[in-house]
Amino acid sequence: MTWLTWRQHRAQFLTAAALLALAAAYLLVDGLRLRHEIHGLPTDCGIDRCFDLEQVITGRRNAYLAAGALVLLAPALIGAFWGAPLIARELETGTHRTVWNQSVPRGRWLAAKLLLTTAAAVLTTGLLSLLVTWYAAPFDRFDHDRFQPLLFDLRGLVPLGYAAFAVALGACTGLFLRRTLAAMAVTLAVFTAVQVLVPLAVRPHLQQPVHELVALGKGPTRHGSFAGFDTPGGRLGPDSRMIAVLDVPDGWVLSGHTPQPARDATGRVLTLASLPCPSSGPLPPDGSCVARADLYVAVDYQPADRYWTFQLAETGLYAALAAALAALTSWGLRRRLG
Amino acid sequence: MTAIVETRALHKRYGRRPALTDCTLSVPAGSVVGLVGPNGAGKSTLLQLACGLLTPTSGTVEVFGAPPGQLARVGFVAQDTPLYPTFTVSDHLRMGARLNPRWDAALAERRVRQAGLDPAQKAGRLSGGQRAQLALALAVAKRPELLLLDEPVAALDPLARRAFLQGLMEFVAESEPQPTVVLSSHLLSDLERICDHLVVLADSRVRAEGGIDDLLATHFRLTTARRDADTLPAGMRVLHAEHTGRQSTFTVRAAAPVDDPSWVMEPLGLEDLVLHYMSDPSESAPADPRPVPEPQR
Repeated sequence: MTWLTWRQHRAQFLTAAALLALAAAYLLVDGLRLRHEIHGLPTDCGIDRCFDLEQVITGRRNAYLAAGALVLLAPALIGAFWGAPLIARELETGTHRTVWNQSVPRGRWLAAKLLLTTAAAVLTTGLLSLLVTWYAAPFDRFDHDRFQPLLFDLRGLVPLGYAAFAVALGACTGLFLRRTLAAMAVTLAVFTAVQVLVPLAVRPHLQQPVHELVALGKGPTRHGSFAGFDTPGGRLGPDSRMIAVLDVPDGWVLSGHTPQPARDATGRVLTLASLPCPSSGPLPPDGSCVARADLYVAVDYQPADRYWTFQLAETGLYAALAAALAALTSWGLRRRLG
Repeated sequence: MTAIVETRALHKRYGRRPALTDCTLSVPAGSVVGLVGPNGAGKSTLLQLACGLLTPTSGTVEVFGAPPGQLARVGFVAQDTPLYPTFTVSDHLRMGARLNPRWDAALAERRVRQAGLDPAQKAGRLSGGQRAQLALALAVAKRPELLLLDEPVAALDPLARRAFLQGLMEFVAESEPQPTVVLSSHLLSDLERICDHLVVLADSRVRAEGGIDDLLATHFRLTTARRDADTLPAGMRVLHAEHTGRQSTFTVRAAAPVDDPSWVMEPLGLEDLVLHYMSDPSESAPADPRPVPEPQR
């Protein structure tokens, strides 16, 4: 079965290996050059004081985005081009009637094909993810955003889970649709839907988020800053609430992307009228006054140190989905004879 | 005598459409059974039920006395001989060797050589006859005890047909013990030269089954002066009657010919016999109460 699987899919496997080798060559060379260029530059700094570093990083931004796109696309393409034809092509061309009448039971045939293809998919995506994770490390240290929804998907372990899930999804879809092209389209659509749904609806709840009142403009790890006043009626009035934005470096702020109302130490929401640093006219309040004024903003977030916990949990989630789909495929394969 | 394939009250429906209705038959060990019937009669369904590609809606099918699934003992050549188009001839043989514990590599190579196949040729570029030969090589090199072939020659030209059937008979003749073979066709001419048993299927039902010699010995055409069917002797079962102004022609089934100066009773040819059962779905032969004789060879 190993030989048969290899012989049937060697064109796809070799194509993937060639693409991977190309990407690896580019990322390794460019990644080393990047590291050489930023060597010795101060890295632990605010945006204002890292101009040299920022320049190097910005110059590599396109390569960084392309590398991310590779990791983003790899599982989807693997699902469509490896997973979907796995069973659908056999059913479409009738070769299942030939191969299922060799002396290998159908269950073992499926297990071998699914396991080997999944292994190849996980290996390919894993190597790619490893490369990109390494390549992007300087960017992540600079941007502090690897926990953000889209970027979280492109690093570390999770792409391995996505790849396993995509293969199982493709195989299962192919079995039930019996048409390669239709199975490819449906696999892509469902995979994309799941990839959108999980960061929105599932990932935030993998662990209870931390709820905290964060002091504005204080502390080394959290950047909160005064953003202005909301203007519900389109006009600034005494009732306009004071709002602030908060960023948790390397963490993931869940309480929306909209600025949050600023509160004082007792939790009271502040307005233009109740502002501790009144300013005359349309001028913004004095920044240093705001910093001294002991203001807070309420925030739900996943702290940075949960990054690998989340990576593991989400990989496990996708692996479980893949296993469930494989079981469904195996059941359907037995039942299909009806 | 043991039955290699045995079906009892076997039914198969695809949705509402019956594909096989109340099929009860047994295939004796060592026989070569022809499954003949028009397209859509249920031949493929019956064969796929026997090799386990389909499961019955009701009734049972047993192969070697057990439900189908003893893959190593059964060879199957599917309709249109599906092969992997990107695999070469030798890739297919390699697949056979890897997936079958009883693989006879020498036999496979001999069959491929005799069929004049280039081992490096891709299956997608083979002609219909060559594909069929390769599929046959793949099926027989498993050394099956039961070989099922679903319309293997339907798409072949007469020369390829003959070459294929010759290859099949060579395999049967040289194997020890002799394998049981069931092959289907909608043309009797494909089957009559190589089969010793016949199953006639039409409209999803078994119309007739039995040894060919036996069928031939019990079916007659009887020509007399015009008379009614019910005036014939009791031992004759009238399958078909045709009357002209002065003469009657009956197709009858009887244990033996009856000599009578008032009629001419001659054996019905196999072709007429099969055509009769295939075209007259209202009349189904009763199951032959006598045991099917041992195949003669």
